[in-house]
Amino acid sequence: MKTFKRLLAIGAALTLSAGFAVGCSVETPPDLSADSSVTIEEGKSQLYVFSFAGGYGTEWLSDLARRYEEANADKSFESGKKGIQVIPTNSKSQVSSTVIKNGKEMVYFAEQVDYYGDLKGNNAVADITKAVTGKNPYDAEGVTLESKLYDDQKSYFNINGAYYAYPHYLTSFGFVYDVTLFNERGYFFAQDRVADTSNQQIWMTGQFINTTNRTVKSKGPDGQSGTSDDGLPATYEEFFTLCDYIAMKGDMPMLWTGQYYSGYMTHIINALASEYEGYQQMRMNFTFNGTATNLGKIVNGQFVEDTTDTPITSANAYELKRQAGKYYGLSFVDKLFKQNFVTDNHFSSTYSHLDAQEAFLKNVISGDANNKAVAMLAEGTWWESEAQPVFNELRKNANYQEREYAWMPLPKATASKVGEKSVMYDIMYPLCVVKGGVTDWRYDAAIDFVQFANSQESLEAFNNITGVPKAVKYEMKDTTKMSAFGKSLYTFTKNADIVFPYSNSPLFVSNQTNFSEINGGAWNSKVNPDKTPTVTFHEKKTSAADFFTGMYDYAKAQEIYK
Amino acid sequence: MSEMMERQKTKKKDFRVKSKIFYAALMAVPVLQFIVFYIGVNINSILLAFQDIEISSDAVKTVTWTWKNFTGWFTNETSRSLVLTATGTSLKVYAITLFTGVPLGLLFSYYIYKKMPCASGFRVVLFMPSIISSIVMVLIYKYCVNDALPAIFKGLPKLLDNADTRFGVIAFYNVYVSFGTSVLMYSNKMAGISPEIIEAANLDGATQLQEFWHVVLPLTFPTISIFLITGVATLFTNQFNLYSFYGGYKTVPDSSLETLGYYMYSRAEAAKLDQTVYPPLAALGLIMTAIAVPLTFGLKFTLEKFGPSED
Repeated sequence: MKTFKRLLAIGAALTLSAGFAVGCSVETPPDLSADSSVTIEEGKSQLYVFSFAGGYGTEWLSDLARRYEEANADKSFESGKKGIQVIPTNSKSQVSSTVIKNGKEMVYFAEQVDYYGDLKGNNAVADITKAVTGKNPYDAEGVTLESKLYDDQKSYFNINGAYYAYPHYLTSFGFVYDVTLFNERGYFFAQDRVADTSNQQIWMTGQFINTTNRTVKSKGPDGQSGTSDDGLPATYEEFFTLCDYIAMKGDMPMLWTGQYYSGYMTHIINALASEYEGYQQMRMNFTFNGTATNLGKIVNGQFVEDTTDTPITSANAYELKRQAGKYYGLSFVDKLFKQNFVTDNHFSSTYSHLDAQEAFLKNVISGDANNKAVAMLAEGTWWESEAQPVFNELRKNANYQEREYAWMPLPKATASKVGEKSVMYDIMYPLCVVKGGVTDWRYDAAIDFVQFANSQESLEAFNNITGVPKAVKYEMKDTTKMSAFGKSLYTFTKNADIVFPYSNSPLFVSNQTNFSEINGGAWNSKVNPDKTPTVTFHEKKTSAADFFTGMYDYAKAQEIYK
Repeated sequence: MSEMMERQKTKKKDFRVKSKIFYAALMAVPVLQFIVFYIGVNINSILLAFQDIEISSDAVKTVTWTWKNFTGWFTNETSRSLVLTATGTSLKVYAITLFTGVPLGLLFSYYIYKKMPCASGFRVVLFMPSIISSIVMVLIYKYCVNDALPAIFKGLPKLLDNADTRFGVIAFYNVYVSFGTSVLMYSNKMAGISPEIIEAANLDGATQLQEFWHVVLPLTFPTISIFLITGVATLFTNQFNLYSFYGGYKTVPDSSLETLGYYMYSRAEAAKLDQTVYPPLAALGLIMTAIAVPLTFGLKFTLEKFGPSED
């Protein structure tokens, strides 16, 4: 009995100790829940790769892993083994220095991380300069990863002469439209229009193309005919005319998620502000260095631009809250919310982005007896990838006719802005890092994998699978595998400037959240502190002008500017 | 004889030593865990409250020691107004729980204790939110109040989206989910009441209400007081399930819905590990602790001194 008790006590102690040891272990095994079928191939080396599995899905990583394994089937990464097995961890967890330090994964694809303060500041990431500036064995001679970077990326990712991260995909926000529906219903503006304003209905119909006397589309926002944006609304005014026309024809002009309207429609405001301001002016919101040329204030309810330009430094960067583009973006969405076509669903906390995508693709709006077709969707660049289950469901029907969707260039605030270069804003600043503190074969393999993941072949593969470009410079050699939407987005991106929402300015890196558009303080206003402009418009019925003035007051009261 | 006594004494001593070793070995792990994961973590938070973190262009962190994380909550008009609003909401939520949740919990427990019709079914329904994941429960509830009810009762607004009704529907949900643990604890305590006492009360002609008020309630009071005392801390930590309903604070339609617990959690979550955001929040946490500690001890003292006793 005594022996039994002793054994029991020893067993209990061991169990407790084991539990404690597990809790304190330095490396936790990767979460393989996403793919429980993974079996370790003993003869090969294993490279664990983490990916934030958001709207871009997991297929691109599976494809990347497969191609990398094939390309290195005969290579030995560690002694006694041949070939490599890439094991992906697809997760929605936030990547942090702690996660990286405790994880088994060597490569991390993440978004919305604090690169300077957390990842590099806490020494969680490895120096990947070798991958970025060195010869890429998977690319043509002379093509390095660094040569694909934009200048803003080079200055941000390079810390003291070394790279610790590399950009991942592009995340932008805007409008998607159903090209097939636009063609069927004639929702394109005509070049020559009816001038008669005595009858609203005749006038409106006369603005759009038809099959008889108005067959030539207008020049669109780029101000040039013969381009892909022909017939699309060039100005805010045209955009709202288009909405009225679509509604008049019995269709739903635009949908967006009610559940996340706060964030989604603030992204739209931000995109419109960037479009108005242009690359140089918008970048100042992160570099705090330059001359602001579009500042102004509200006088008698109207935006009045300053007569002089304002030099911007870290000490007075709050002045940028007075940028004209911000006012115009706010007033656009404020007006959009007041349109007659806007329903409860547009603000319903139970109407998700997936519901909106489904309604857009199926042209069936839940609860709508009139069976309206949906012309436009306010969404992120990733929407097509996210909506794959709906596409798959539709394609199961033998009678389903493929429809064409495209990325819509944003309209310009005023006619004088038509023809200016478009601007995209990378909301979530995704990046790729390698775990620090590992010096064995796994580090070399990770460096090699990062180079492979950003080779021409892999960039194209990513673009083909997700329909979205990576956030680096490259040309698609073969666009035949892309969807119509993917092609339109790719073409648009190639012709646009991209604003990356980061810089190495001390003011920025010490206050990243303050300047972040997503979940941050970029659009905070004193009239409704800590709430987005969209929530404020909808809930408080505050005007765009008041919100705009409050943004300046809010920013000026902060003590970070010095 | 004395040798035998001596041997017995030694044996007793040995046993005491061994018992102590066994006890020490058994307690070592939880104590260590407490030191690391409670004291250690909190010390980090306490230190953070006094830090001003700056990051250079070389990604080098500079920490300076400051009181501004504390003073900022009083001097910055915007922060002060947001925290005051959240305090008001927290007090409102606490009052609702105290004056609705506790009495109803006691009545439900008494109902179950007396084995009235469908008492077991009642117990399951009340305990359900503690079994099912809160996200699932909130989802079901959300669709019910926002879509199902307005579809059944025409003219009814989407209750969660409507500014006039959303606080009420969220409060209702919170009161409902609070029953799980309290009803279980109260009814178990009631089940431990000696049947003779109840019988004596019945023989004295006590009605059911009198039995509840004069017998059951005083005998359950030690358990009730534990809930009341620990409830004080929830004044500062209760998130009102807002994260499950709406997600991040930018999505919550009105600041007046935010409680102090949600205010702090949501800001820390949205920081996405931007460490410069944490110090003011850590300071706010300390300010709340400074208020919660005397409040908790004060209530404990009051309940012990003035609350009904089992005698």
